[in-house]
Amino acid sequence: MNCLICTTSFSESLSWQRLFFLKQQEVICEKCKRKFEKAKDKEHEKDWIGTVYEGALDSLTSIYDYNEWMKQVYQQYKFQHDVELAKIFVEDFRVLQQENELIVPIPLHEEKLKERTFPQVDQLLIEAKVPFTHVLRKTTNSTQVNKSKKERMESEINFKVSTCVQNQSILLVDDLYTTGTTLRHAAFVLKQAGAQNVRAITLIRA
Amino acid sequence: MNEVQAFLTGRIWLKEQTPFPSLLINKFIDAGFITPHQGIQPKPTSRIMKNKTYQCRRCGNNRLTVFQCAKCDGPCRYCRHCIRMGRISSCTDLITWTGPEIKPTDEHIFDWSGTFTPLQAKASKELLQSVQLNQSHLIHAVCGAGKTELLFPVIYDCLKRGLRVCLATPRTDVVLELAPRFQQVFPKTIIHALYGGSQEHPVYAQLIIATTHQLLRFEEAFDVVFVDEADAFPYTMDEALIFAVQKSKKLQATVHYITATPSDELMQEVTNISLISERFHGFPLPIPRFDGLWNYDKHIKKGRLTTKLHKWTQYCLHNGFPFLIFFPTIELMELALPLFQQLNHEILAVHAEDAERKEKVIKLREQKVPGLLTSTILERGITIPNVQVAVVGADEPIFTSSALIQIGGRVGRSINFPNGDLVFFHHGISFAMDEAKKIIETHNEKRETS
Repeated sequence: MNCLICTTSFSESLSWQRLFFLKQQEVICEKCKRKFEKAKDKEHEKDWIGTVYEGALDSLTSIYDYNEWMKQVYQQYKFQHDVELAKIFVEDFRVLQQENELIVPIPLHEEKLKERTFPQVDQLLIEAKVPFTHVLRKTTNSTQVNKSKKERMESEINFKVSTCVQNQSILLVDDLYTTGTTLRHAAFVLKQAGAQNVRAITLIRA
Repeated sequence: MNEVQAFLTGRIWLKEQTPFPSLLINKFIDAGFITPHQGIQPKPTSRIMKNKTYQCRRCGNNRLTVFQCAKCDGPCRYCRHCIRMGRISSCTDLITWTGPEIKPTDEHIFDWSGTFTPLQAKASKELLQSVQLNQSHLIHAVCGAGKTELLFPVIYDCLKRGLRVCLATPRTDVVLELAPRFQQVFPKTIIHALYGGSQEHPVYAQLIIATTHQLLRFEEAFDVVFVDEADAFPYTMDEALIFAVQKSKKLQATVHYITATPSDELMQEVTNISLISERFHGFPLPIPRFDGLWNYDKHIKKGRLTTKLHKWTQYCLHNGFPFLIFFPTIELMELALPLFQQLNHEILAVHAEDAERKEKVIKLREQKVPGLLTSTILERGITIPNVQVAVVGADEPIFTSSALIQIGGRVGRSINFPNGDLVFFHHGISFAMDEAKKIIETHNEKRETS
């Protein structure tokens, strides 16, 4: 096996988990793997207290810290369109197979999707074999990139709920948590549409 | 048209990534001046087979990744091998210039007043002859023979004849070192230096100095190709780079090679060979000495240098000799660094991914640091007067005989300091070490008889 990131060849040590197919085959070498850092537990609600979005998101989990290494790898995935890199994070998302909540990835606008050729959030779930449902639709092709924190937090909601979510518990999935605007917008419209509980998980916490 | 023509002539480029507006590109496609090609194509040799295999048009890789593409709405293949140059998939187009040809200028100035040793002069003349006869040629010259200079008159001859010339090398460092030297010698010639992250100019360059990797972006472009350091990592490892060299040249053009350590395959492949077994200053090559350094890795992991390594470093520090110490792995080198810094806190370590690599080498040359620990990355291309060299773990497989010869080639390059210590610290003598020593000795014997 050659490492998906550094291309050097490596061999995986055999374990019982591997033997009984409880664990996926490793796709990156130990050295590249060690460069990822788990996300630190950071406060996320403070900035939103007193706004209409206070309490929209019931909880947040992030898996990795946005260190230089992650920036580099994620850049190659998202902007150089290296779809296969989604396999690196299979183990992180596989646990969601057991969730009872409705798993909802943050969608891309149709035009953006054509441009990117693949939905980078869905792809993480597809590789991990996690079933998901699209209940949100993006109404404009705007992006939060190149906006200041204030501009982001005051930007208009551009999500619509496209199916009934009355009394549902929802787990939102996104790639990157920066200010949390995207997730709060999504949670807000979902709650308005009658969702009971909205949690979120992101691959990266900036 | 001029800019587009100048930029695209000889290149194969992602249609969506040119420095020009897509409207303009489309206009040229309609006029037949630009031809689009599918980025991923069925492999030409597999047409008779039922299972088609596909390959990347740019790098020749046939291990492609299939994914569900939202742009072409179906299963789509993409190439991971050359993805850093912009992703190529089944639904992306590559373009080449098929319009009017560029008339090359014959206005070149040759501004070089150096002199050749008799052996250099002979090799340069032989190479010129081969280039004119379009026969492949290998310059097999020892480290420090002055290989670059003997290319000057040959390349000048090509430029005057209006030929497009490429000088390729596997390493970015070498491109960065060679480009300014050539620009000085050919002050009126447009020369492009291409490496990962270099700037693209919409101008036609008649002489291109590039990493072999960058040649993937050319197709049937060059009349003459010289591959410098033809054996350097990763050139021997990577089939795609051999593909790149072959693809970048015009069909009838030949490839010439320059190296101190040719492989047997290369020796057999070329038509003509010139051997230079003497350094430009006429002194013999330093012979490596072998010295047992038992369990060096265990000692370093336990936080101590062995007495021999300690003494050797002290010897260099006391005499004020700059030194290089090569390590088989970056991990071991990083473990050893603090131990060396106890002897002198200014000692630094470099490896391939080190962003400050260039600055650190310059610091050593200017004697601002006493010595460097290094991975094999500094095995070639650098000249430091009076440098002393030690290899720790010279018996490790990463130190092939050619790597050891190149490493040895760092010592005694300057006419003022034609000698220096070259020591291979080992945990048992390897075949590669023996072979390296034997080859160096043979060169010295030939020098005496010639």
